[in-house]
Amino acid sequence: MRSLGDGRRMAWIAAAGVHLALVICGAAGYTPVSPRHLAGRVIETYREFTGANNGYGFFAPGVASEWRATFDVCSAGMHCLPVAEEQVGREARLLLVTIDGLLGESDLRDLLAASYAARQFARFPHAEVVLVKVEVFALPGMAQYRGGRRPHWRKIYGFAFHRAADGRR
Amino acid sequence: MASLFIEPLTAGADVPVRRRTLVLPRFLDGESSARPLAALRIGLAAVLLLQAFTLAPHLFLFFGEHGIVQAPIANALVPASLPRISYLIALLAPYVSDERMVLLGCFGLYVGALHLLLVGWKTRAAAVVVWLLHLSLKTSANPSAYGVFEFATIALFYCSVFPAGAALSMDAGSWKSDSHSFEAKLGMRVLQLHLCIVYLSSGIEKIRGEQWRNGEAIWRAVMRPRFATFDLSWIAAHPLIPLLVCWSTLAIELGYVFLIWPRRTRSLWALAAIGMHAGIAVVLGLWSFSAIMIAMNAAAFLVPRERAGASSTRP
Repeated sequence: MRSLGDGRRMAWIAAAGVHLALVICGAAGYTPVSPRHLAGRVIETYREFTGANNGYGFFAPGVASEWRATFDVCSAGMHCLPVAEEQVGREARLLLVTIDGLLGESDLRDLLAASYAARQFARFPHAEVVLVKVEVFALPGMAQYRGGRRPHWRKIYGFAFHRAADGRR
Repeated sequence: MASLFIEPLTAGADVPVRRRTLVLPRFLDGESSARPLAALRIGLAAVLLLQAFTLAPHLFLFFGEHGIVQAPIANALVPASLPRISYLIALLAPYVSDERMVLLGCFGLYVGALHLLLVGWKTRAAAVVVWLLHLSLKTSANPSAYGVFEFATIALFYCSVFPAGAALSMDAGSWKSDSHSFEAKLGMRVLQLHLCIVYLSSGIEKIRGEQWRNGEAIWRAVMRPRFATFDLSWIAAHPLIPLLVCWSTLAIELGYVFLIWPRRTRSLWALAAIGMHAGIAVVLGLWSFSAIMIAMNAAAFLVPRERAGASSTRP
């Protein structure tokens, strides 16, 4: 004996089919309906809420280089001291590393550097200048490593943020 | 969706009555145990609770309005339709002046609802609350959200929609309880198919990259200085090892969609996928991500779903 009517079963199956079709679209990086239309916006919201918009290319097609930001805080006389990385546990460090990965995106780099600097101004209220140095981990290939080359952090960009005269950053 | 309507004759007193009956493919027909979904619920809640406890000391750093990525920047990266803590802060501004109290309140509610989800009390409501709060926290900390947040969103949605509290829960009456339903079977099928899409997509993306074909991908992954848990630089002298690991990963991911269904290879392939994630946890330190993937795989393909005494060659 069935606990659910046939109509309701068909509705469940149809909904599941549509959901999985959207999951496939997400995996393929395909937007099924343009968000310029109302239907498209509704579908995009559904995909965002349910995770059906995710791609699954973890570490693919290649493993990206690691990025990081390091900081110096400086007094008015430009005496600068390096700032130690945030002391956090392993899981929290993964979140920090994920944020740092955005430094590889040129359109976000300036914004992120400004946000990092604001954090350092808050941590060090007497700092007049915060230097944000963006670095990428240059890793040689295995053959190069066997040949004697070693990985190192390479400086890519530098930003200097000054505290405003009225205390704003 | 393949389906068929047939019209059997139902014997009446005098006149036969024709009634349409839905016949589904065996893949979807019948009922199955809610235990796989319950296993997903318990595994997911346990992982998210552990993650919440490890992130709690850094709550304001990642999720706060003035955290490491400030709210205006984080908000600009995600659609306005998604829930986030800053919306609640604005909503509650007339009543709560300290925005940190709103974040603390949301986080407290999230952890409380996760406990309810874990034990399966008011499961559906708890799952919806956890899902929406998780989404709000993820959106607020969008720049720091990595894979574990995405898979948690997916799994929480399934726990909200399908009967994840119908077995191994306080709602079901006892820890040994179980129930069988069509919704439980459909939920399990959706989870299974979703995992197949995940691994197939991931495998295709990987094999397109030269790094995965020549072994450099594993070298680059284990040498990331802030990921690595061990010094594995010695593998550069033994390039066959990363090459084998790369191709094993490709085989597991690309073979998943084909070899997870036949009864003979199902357990082997599920265990291979679980082993792969355990390796990721140990070598790359991605513990919570790996734990969620292990919970999803175990729930989808390893937890028994037939009635006691029944046997099936179907996964």
